[in-house]
Amino acid sequence: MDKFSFVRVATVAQAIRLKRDNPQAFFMAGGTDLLILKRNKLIQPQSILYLKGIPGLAEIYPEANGGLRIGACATLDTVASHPLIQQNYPPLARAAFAVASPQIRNKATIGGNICLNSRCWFFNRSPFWRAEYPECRKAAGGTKCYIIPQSLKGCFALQSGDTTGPLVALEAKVRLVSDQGERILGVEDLYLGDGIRYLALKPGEILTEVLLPQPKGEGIFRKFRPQNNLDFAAFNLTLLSPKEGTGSKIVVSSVASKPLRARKAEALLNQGAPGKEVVGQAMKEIPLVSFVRGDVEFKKQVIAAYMTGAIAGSKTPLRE
Amino acid sequence: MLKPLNMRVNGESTQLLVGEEEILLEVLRNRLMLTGTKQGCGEGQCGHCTIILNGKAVNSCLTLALEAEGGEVLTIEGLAEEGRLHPIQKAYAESGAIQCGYCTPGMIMAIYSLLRENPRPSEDQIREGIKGVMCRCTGYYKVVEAVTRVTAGGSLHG
Repeated sequence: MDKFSFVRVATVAQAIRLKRDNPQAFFMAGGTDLLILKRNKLIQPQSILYLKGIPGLAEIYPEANGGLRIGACATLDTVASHPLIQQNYPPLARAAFAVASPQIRNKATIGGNICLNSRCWFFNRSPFWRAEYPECRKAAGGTKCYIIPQSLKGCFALQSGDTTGPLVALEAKVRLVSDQGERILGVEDLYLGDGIRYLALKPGEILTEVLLPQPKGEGIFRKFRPQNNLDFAAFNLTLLSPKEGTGSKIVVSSVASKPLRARKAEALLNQGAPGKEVVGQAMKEIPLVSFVRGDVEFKKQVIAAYMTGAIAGSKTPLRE
Repeated sequence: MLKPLNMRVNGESTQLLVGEEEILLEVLRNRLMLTGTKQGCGEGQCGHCTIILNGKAVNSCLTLALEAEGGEVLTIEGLAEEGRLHPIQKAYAESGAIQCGYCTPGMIMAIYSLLRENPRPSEDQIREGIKGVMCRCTGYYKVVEAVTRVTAGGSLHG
């Protein structure tokens, strides 16, 4: 590996200061994606600011208003097995459990999963593999796009963190801290929908906490991957349909550069429209791009089938 | 720059100087000569480099050596006690779950971690527990059999 410096950061304030002094430095928590990007020469960090040693940043605790705070460095294993998350936010617990393998979940964090670099079947490969083809737009100097080959510009790499769909559906927010102070942003607004500039983080900002509002009912999360292996999702479906009120959510994630909500279909679901109508509307709304293991038409049919099942399941108390 | 790394490896405290960019797997294999832990893909898919770090199974190929500072590392070399195989190792041999053997150290460490957290796993839970380790020989049947042999045998530490 090329050389870099490794700094075990002690406080958030120190992390912000070091990043300000050296904007090229990378924050690292679990490192399960960052070290592979580094290995594949897709990033060249000169300096790594290691966040996992910051006291308190991995804690999960309930808030007085009935919500829950999750420290950004809580591992996915912790999130998946935490009793309050399993009980009150089952789609999030299931999504965390759906990530890769136990080994990865023991290391990877919720903050890292939210900020995960967007991915595509071409970009996330070794230099040897990529050298056989013209470079893509997400890599330095590339001009091609392998997700939408006919596109003239832009990058369509997929936002692929499994927990992001449930976080959007649950109306989670994140706390972002910088030397300018701090701000709270909805997870939905965190994603810009661009494969290269995928996050609305400002330079030097650090995600310290995930804030979940009071739970509004259970929900369903389904991760679809062609084989039951460690793979990233071909798509993730999150469906919330509270017994009272109008808080239905339909989120399809890992299919675009940001999690996609089917807002008109959600309105239909709120009105109690038949499942077929809701699914039809959702599929009209969700712009799908290509799919590496099958074409868009195939993907549409699988998503529609999963959604139909999820909505039928939601008529009874919402459980997967 | 070389930095000091203090950690306990298989119960023994270890001090050495490591490069900031060094991977824990390389340090274990090339510096401490603990070559039981294997390198496979180097990107967290095959799990052959699985070790236990601070009580949790992790891919040592995706762990910087300095992350282990002050930590506790357990590798396959640390399982047998006084020349007696660990029950998982014994069951593994008895079930014929070793074929080419390359995945075996990683697989056994993944099983060790699984059984520590859940001493009576169902078959589904076993399969989830070993999901992070690829075996191209056994089709996983013999591996699952080995785990059931351990859990049926009762004590993990007998």
